[in-house]
Amino acid sequence: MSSGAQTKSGLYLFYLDFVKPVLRSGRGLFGLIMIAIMILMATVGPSLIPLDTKLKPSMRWCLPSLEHPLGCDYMGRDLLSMVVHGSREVFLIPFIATIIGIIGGMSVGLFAGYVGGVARRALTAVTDVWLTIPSFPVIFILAYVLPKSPLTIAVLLALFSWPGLARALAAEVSSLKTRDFVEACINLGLSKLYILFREIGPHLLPFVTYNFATLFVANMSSLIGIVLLGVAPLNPTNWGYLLNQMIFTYKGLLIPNGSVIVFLMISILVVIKLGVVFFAQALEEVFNPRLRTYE
Amino acid sequence: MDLKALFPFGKILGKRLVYALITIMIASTVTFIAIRSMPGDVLYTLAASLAEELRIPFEEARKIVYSIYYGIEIEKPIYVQYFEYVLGLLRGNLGYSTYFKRPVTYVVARALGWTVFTLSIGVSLSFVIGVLAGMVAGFKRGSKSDFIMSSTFTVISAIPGYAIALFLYIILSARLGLLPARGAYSPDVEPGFNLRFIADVLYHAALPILTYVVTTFSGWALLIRSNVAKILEEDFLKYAEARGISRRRIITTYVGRNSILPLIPLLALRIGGMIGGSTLIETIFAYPGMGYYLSIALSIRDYGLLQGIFFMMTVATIIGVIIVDMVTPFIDPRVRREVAVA
Repeated sequence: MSSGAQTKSGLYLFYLDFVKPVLRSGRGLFGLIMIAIMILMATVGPSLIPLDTKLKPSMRWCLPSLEHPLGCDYMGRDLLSMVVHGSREVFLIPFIATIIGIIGGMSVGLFAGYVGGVARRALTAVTDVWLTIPSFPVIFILAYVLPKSPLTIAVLLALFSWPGLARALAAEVSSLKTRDFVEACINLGLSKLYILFREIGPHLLPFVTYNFATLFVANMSSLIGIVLLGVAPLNPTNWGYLLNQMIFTYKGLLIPNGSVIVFLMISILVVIKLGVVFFAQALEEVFNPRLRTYE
Repeated sequence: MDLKALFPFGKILGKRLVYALITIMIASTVTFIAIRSMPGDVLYTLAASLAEELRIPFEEARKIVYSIYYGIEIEKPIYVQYFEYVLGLLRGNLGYSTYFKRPVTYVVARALGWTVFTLSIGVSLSFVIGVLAGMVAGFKRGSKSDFIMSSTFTVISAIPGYAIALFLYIILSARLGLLPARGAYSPDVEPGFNLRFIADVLYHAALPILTYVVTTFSGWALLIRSNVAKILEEDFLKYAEARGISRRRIITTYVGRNSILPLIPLLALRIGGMIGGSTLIETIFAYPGMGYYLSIALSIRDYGLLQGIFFMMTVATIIGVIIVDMVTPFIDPRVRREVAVA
C-alpha cells in the first residue's frame, strides 16, 4: 500500500483527498452521478437519441412507459428526446454566464478586498444598489428586446451573478490580508500579485467552487424562467419553452395526464439542481473538514 | 441616550435616497433601451393607425406615438431624450398602455395592491416560520432531527419558485381542487368591505402566498440554524446560564435576538428578488398583480405597460428596502449606536 502510494503519489493523493470523500458521502455520489448524466445528455445525448418530431395525436400527454420513459408532450412526441435535445442550451448558456459572472466577481472582489478602504466601501455601495434591482424582470425584458444570441443571454444572466460573490470575497480577502503568513510574504518582498494569487487565492478556492455551482443552478432556473414566461428561446426544445407550451398554450395543468407530465418535467429540473447543489456541498466539506458534522 | 441616537433616520435616509436615485437610473435605462429597441412593426401599427385617425403624415404620427405613449421626444439628441424620459418617469408619467387604452398608472393602481398584499403576507409568514424552524434545528444541532430538518431545508431551497408554484398548483388545485388558482376573487362576489369578499380574497390569495412561504422559509431557516449553532458556543451564554437566567429568557433574548438581527439587512436585499420573482408566480396563478401584467405586457407587445410596470416594481422595491432600513435601528441597538457615532 505504502509503496503504491509512493509510486503514483500525485494521483493517489488526489483520490484520497478529493474523490474518495465525495464518493463516500451519499450526497456527493448523487451529485456526481447527476453531473455525469448532465454532461452525457448535453454532449453525446442528441446523437444517441434522435429528436422525435412526428406528431401523434393519439399519443398526446401519454404517461411514462417503456417506449416513452418520460411520457409524451402535448403533440404526442417523446418527451425524453425533447429533454435531451434541449439540455444543451439549458446547460451551456448558464455555464457561460456563470464563468463570466465568476471572473467578474473574483476580479472585483479580490481587488476591493486587497486594496481595502475606499475601494471596499465603493464595492459595498455598488452591490447594495445592484442587489436591490428586481433582477428577474431586467433579464426578462432585455432578453426580450435585445438581439437574440446565446452570448447576449449569458451576459445578461452574468450581470446579476457577480455582486454577492464579489462582496463575500472582498470580506474574505481583507481578513486573510492581516494573517501572519501574508505579513511574512510582504516582509519577504514578494510582489502583491504573487501574494494575491499564489498565497491568498488558494484559500478562496473552496468558496469560489461552491459559488460556481450555486450560481450555475440559479442561472439555469432564471433561463428556464424567462423562457417559461414567453421570451423566445433559441431552440424549440428549451425546457422553458416546453413548459411554456405545456402550461399556457395547451393548458396541460387542466388535463389530468398533462399535469403528470408537467410534474415530471419540473421534477427533472429540480433533481438536476439538487444534484449540483449536493455535489457542491460535498466538495465544500472536502475542502473544509470542519463542516463535516454527520459522519 | 439623546434624541439623535433614538431617531437616527436622517443619515440612513440620506444614504438610501442616493441609492434610490441610482437604482431608478438603472431601471429607467433598462426601460429606455426596451422602448428604443421596440420592433418596428409595433411602432408602425400604432403610428399608422394614429396617422389615419388624425389625418396627419406618418412621420408626425410616429413622433406623437413616442412622446405621448412613452414620453420620449424622438427628434432630440439621444442623451436629451434619456434625460427627459427619466424626469418624466419621476414626475409620474409612466407612459400609456396601448392595450388598455389608458395611462399605465390606471393599471398600476389596480395591480399594485394585490402584489403588495400577497408579498407582504408571504414575506412575513415565511420569515416567522423560517425563524422558528431554524431555531428548533439550531438548538438540536448535531442530532438526527436536525439532520432531517436541515436536509429538508436544503432540498426545498434548491427548488425554483416557479417549480414550487407549479407543484402546488398541480397538487392543491388541479388534483385535489382545494384552492382556486385563477384571479384575485370570484366574479360573483361584490368587492367591498364585507366578510364574504374578504374571505374570498384570502381564499384566492392562498396559493400565491403559500408559494412565497414555501420558496423562502427554508433559506431563512438555514441561516438561523447556523446563527443559533454559533451563538450557543458563545461564552456569554454559558455565563447567562451560570447566573441562573431562565431558559425562556435565554432562548428569546440571548439566542433569538442575536440570531435574528443579522438577517434583517438580508431581508432588505431580498425584497427586489421577491418582487421580481412574483412575475412568474403571479403569471402561473393568473393573479392580477404587477408581475402578471408585466408578462401580459410582453406577450401583447405593450411596451408602454412594460416600462410602467417595471418602473413601479423598482419603486416598490426601493420603498420596501427603505422601510426595512428605517425599522432596523429600532430593533437593533448596535445599528442605532453605529449610526449615532458615524
